Amino acid sequence: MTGAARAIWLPLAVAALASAAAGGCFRLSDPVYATQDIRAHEPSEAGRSLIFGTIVVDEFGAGDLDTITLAKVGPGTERGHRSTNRINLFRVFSRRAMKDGHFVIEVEPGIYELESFSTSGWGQPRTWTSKDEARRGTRVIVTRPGIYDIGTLRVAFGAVGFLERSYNFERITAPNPERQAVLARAIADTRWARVPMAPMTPGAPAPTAQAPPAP
Amino acid sequence: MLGAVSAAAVALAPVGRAHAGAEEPAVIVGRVTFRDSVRQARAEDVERLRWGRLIVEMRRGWDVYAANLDANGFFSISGPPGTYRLDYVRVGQLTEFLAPHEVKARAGRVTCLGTLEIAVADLGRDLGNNNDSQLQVRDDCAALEPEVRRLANADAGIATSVPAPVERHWKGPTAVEIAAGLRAELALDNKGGSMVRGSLLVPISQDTGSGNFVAAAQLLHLSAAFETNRLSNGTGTTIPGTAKWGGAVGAGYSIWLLEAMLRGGFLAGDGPGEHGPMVGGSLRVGTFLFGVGLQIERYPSASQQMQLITLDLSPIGLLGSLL
Repeated sequence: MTGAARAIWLPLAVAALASAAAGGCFRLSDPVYATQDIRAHEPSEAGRSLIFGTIVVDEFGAGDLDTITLAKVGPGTERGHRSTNRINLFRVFSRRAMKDGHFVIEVEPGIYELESFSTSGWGQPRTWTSKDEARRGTRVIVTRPGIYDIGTLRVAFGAVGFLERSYNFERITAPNPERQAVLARAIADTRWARVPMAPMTPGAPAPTAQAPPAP
Repeated sequence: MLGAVSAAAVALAPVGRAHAGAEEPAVIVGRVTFRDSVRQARAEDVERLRWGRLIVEMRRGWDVYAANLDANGFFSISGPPGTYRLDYVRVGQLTEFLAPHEVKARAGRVTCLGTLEIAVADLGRDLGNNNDSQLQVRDDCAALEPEVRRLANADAGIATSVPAPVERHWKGPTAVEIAAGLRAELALDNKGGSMVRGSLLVPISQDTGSGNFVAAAQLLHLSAAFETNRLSNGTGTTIPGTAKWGGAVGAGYSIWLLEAMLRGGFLAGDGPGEHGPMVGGSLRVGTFLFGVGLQIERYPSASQQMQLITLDLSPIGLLGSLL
């Protein structure tokens, strides 16, 4: 093997390791991270709000949440994104923003809709993108500083069409003691613990279809 | 017209923590008007049209101060001095979000905001539904002064301070982003030689979804073996090369997995082979963690050019991905 060939194989091996790590197959921090509870960061500035939600995918091997992306709609024609994830660099040294389908995201006043989320079950990452109708069903209006609990978003396997699968989407806003306990732990000993719970618009929207996940 | 305003229409409702300080309060007075494609409407008309009270809410830190609009759209807020921010207006059960505006209110002073005009396509349909409303701020405090003075209920001086749009400034890359931009690079030339180099890539603008500008500093190194291989290739004899060091800086654009850069630099040394000033360009496909690229480096003073295939890896990025 020439020097040049050796010089190629070493970086390739490292790149393969990097690919496996980046693909979510494993991380050295997994054993420690698994014991970490969901915990909100301190507010980045006064007057912010915290969105708390849960996503449940009713499908075998769907896996835990990796990322959540909310679209900020407006004001006017402006569009932005707010997201959180559990696959960030050096994640073991920062607070965990999502676990077991629960997540917290800090936001400023505005209108937010769930745009997409990703999961990784059996090492296979999948991205779930909401159709317009489903997005509107997840809409949350953030005004005064508060904790906005958007409830549980349940995604279940729906109809099978030609070359695509559709998923039914349901938003459950009924109080759930288990979720409330998760939220209480997430904000304990932070500034958020002194921020009031925001009243949410009662009534869950009708179930709507969701786009098939990208492979 | 202004004299006909009902004094009872103004309500003040501080929300959140009460102001416990001994400092003199600041008073903010302004007027909100409404307009659509066919008409200009007073608050009173809009309330009838939309079946709901119109309420302005301004936030100072964690505290929110709310005030009803009177028939002509006037409102008054009293609170501690500081920076107040307007994000939205309540329209009954609905909320119309506006481009955020901020105003500074000083202790013991009345701050006139002027007229805030909210324009939508159709007041009866769009107001409160966030269908592309526009907020225009007009400094007409001179005309509003009698009403401002009456609402503030004080002879204190009136300061005009038209709310300014809140501009979000990019705070620059984070320490982790900068560290992850450090790359070890293996470059292969078209004559079978290889060399290891290093570069630091730093984002210099915010990525808002359509990519961002990046700057790079690169450490150039041509090893003696690499130079010998290049000089000897195809000649049938071994021409000894010497190691050369240099540096380059560049700038480019990164979008999604693509990164294009232009570079300029200098490679020390003399004799045969590449040396002297360098200009070049590169195209790379990859993530922050690793990538594959093509580089062209031209040394005009030595009449030399190198085409390189590069493989790069961010050691800090790799460590961060594993932890």
